[in-house]
Amino acid sequence: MSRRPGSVAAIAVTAIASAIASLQGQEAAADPVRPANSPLVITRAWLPVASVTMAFPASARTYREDLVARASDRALLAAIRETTADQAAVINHYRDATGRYFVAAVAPEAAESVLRTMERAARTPLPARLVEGAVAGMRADFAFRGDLPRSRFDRVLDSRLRSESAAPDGADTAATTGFDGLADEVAATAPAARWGPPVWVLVDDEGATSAPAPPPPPLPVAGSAATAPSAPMSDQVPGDAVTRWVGSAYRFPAETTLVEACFLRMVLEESLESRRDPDLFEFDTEIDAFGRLVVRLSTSANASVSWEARLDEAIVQLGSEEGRFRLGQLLTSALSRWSRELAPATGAGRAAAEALLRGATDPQAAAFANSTATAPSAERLREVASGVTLVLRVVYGSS
Amino acid sequence: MPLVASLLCIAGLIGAAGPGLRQTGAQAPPGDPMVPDSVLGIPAGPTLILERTEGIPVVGIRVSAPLDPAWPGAARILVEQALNRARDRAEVIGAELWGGVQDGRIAFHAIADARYADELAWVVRMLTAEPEATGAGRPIARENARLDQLAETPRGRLILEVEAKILGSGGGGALPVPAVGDVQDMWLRSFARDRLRILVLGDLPLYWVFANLSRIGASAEAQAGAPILPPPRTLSFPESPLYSWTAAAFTLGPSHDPAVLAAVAALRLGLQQSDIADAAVHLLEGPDDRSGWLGITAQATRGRDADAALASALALVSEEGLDAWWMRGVAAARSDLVAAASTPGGWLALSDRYHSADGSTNARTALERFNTLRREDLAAVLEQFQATLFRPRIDR
Repeated sequence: MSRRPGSVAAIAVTAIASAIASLQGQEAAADPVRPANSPLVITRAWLPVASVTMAFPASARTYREDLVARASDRALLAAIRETTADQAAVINHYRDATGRYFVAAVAPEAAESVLRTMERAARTPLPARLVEGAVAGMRADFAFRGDLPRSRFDRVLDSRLRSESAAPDGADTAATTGFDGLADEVAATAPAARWGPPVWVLVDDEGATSAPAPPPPPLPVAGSAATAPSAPMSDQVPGDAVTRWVGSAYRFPAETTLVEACFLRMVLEESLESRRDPDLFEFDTEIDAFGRLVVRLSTSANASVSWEARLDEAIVQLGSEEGRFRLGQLLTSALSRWSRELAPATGAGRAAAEALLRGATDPQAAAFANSTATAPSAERLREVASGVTLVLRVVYGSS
Repeated sequence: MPLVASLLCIAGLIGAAGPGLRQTGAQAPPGDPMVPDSVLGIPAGPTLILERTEGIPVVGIRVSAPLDPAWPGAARILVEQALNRARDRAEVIGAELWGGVQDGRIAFHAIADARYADELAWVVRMLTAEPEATGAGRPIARENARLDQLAETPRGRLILEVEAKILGSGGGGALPVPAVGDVQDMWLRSFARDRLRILVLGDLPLYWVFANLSRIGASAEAQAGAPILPPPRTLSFPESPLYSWTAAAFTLGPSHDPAVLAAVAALRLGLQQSDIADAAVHLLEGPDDRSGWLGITAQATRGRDADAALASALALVSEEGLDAWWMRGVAAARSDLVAAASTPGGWLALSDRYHSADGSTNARTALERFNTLRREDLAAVLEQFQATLFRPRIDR
């Protein structure tokens, strides 16, 4: 196998958390002062494929900013795909409540070249034809699905989550508005200039290793638990659909780490899945940029039971003494899910990028990407679940 | 347990492929994950392909068996029954479970956290167990419904034609529907222990692999007779009232061959980018049976437009036609291979696809083949085209 060219190795720096020392061959290298635009390098000797991840923070301020981010990401993805068409690489784009991720699965020998290509694309104003194509695509997409109940609900909930108040920020406007001048605005500024330098993670099959270092301090999911309101904010938005949508945001107790929050999220998903009935159409969960657990679910408007009550009850049960055995069962399943997510280079890269976007240091981000061996105990998860509090609930549709 | 103890003894002898065991193929060059660490053959038992990766947080096991006979319908039923059998057990440990026909083999994989390797082996044993008579009704009904659905549309009829050609069941899209006994016979033939490949990805000792996986499949005593296909089902083909359809099918060679994969990717790009007037043209990829059959359909309001569109599409399948797309096709197919290798399941599938008994091919050699493909390699691939081209009637 050909070797990775030297320049990335040169900027790849070498420190490693002993939290992951037990994972032989999975070591992260990090310099105390890593230059901007140089990647955090995570090394896994057994990987057949490397990954390059570039991530910008989620647009968390306004509806308009979210539109700009979506259009810019579409155009940037097209630009990167065009310029890497002759490379052994597949570029994908993901977005969640924390960030917007451009993840390349790439042959190890092409990793540096792809990284440099992505970097150039992010630093350069986007070509007008790609931006226009992106905005046209968004217009068509919004015309098709913008007024669907799910889309309306998402806009309303996202607006409430952004502002943490009942006042909407423009998201309640019709779906097809907000495009005026969008292409010009997106094309005017390079992505890296608009949102600041992206975070970079390279997960590779070789690199410098060093002696185990002390474990990094745990990465808290959010540091603002003390500001949680005493009573949850509740909002009922009328809708004309036969489906009832409910969005709930919960705050974790202080001292909760990101790994613990992720495991509680997965365990809750397993718990809801096991309680599923025909009235529950769909649900998804995420941890947003403010460190809150956000659960969206849709049910039949005529459901005989309240699924938001079931959701609250599921969380209470996870934190109770009676739920101890069930929590242990669900944790088994969550462990496998977490390992499968982090085993591929692309999954590890995205996890490390998420941690960096949340303010992690390099060792903390590397530890998070390698956290399969340091999963929280069932007892600790029970403690976390018992301290989870509801801070926001939005119901869209019939009550 | 005596069985386990004896397997442990065998494993103890494995150092240099001890008595009774044969090391097949070449040992991996150190540190290349694209090449299995070791390939071992157990006398009258399965071939074990081991990817021992220190530190990987998951364990993945794939079992594959030849498609015997080449009857995708029976394989689908066998797979569905197996997944139904193992699903509950897999969910308990959060394992990813997959089954299907891939590269001409019936294959399953199960992937879970490395701490649950023992439970995962149990899941794999359930996947590969003999199919029961009970529980077969629903998959068989689904296969019947699938044939009816395919017969509804011209594109579906082309798939039926190709499947019938592969199975040798006659023209006109005539396909038999398997009964319970056919599925059990297929298991006896395909899952005969010495025909299985077991691929293991994980940080596991060899004795664990022997103890847990070397006895799966049908034993040598359980023999099935020669396959006898039941008569094909009669299907009704409704006429297409609005459009005229024409179609052609052909193969460019074995579907796992990097040059063929590149040619298919080039053809796909060429069809997407070509401006064929007054008609819709689509490329269909045939059953995943390693034969590499492809189909092209052309649909238009007038018959002559459909014929002209099909002729334009088939003209692309030539050195001149694909010249502009060939190198992009190579790059696209190479990227697909890299993307597939990025997940444990895809990694195992590639190891299986490119395994050869003499060790001369593996995922690494396939990737290198992509890197060395040149313009002149296109000609050799296209030789198959004219020899295999046929034009079934699907517009009825």
